[in-house]
Amino acid sequence: MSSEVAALGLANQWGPILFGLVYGLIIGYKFDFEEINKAVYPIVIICGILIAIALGTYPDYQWTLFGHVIRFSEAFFSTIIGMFIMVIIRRQ
Amino acid sequence: MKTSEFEEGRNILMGISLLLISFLIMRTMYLFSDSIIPGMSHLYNLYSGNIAPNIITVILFDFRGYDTLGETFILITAVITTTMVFGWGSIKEAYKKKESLQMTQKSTLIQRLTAFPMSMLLVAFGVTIVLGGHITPGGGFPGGSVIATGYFLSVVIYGLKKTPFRFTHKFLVNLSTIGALIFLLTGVVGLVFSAYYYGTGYYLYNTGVDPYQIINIGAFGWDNILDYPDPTHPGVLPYLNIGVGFNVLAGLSLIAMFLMEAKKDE
Repeated sequence: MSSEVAALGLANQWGPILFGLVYGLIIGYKFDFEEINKAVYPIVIICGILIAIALGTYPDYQWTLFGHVIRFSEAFFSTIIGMFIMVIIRRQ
Repeated sequence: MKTSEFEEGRNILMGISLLLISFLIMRTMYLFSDSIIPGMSHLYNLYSGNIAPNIITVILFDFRGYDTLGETFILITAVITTTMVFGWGSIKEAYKKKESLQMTQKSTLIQRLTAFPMSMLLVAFGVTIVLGGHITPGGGFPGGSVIATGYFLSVVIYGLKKTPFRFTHKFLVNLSTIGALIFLLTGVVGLVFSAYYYGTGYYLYNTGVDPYQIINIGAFGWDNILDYPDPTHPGVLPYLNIGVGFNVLAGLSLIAMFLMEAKKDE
């Protein structure tokens, strides 16, 4: 697809990004723990990116990155980001 | 026990009001049968693809919105019933003194190390199902169930006291209520705007898509009120999905929490 789709997508797709972030913040607000090893966080991020790429199914939801078309589930990744934001806030 | 005259009078009043309400409901339904146009659902099937790609969600939330509203409240009733039957474990003193659960002691290092990241991924996956309900198979009910599964996984592995998800009763009850209120208030928005612009109010009217072309709000710079900003523009459907998702995730988590507390009490 051309970059027009990407531009259109970037201009119009803030619905799933915003509401995924809201979900992540609301659920992540209740995270409270000390025992978990910090080494799992990068693994969660990498797994999140891979799963988000695997879940992107709808043709309109796609970005062009380095000449490759990438279908990406923004809702999945923004939820992970929202939860991590709350984890960082809690840890301070 | 002897019934007093006051209770007898109340029973008679209740009987009369029941008869009156039954008569009115039956009469309304009989009159409503004249308004049903044969082939309407066939026409709707042809049109529904214009609202959102997933026709099942369109029918679930747009064509049969009242039915889904009823299902949402069935879930709340189920949660209340489970709370009444199994909720006694949470208020007994023994629960507060005992720390560990037998199931928690059995969980291994690998389980404890992987359960929380898995729960995070499950929550994100559930949110994806909720927010993609109008595009892909899924919606508020399965998405909320997946999120509650993530919570239940962490509760089973770490136990209720040490679980990273520090959901409290009050938080879950509030979340469930907010989810139901999102559904109800979205319907009220449709009612108010269709009544203002058309004269007749329709509860749960899809103001984002505006299938009857009656709402014209160009002055504010928006196409329609409650328009969902994504390429498909399905109107209020994602908002209803979000509300149902909150309701289901909170309800099922509450049920899981109460069952765990009841087990701990034994």
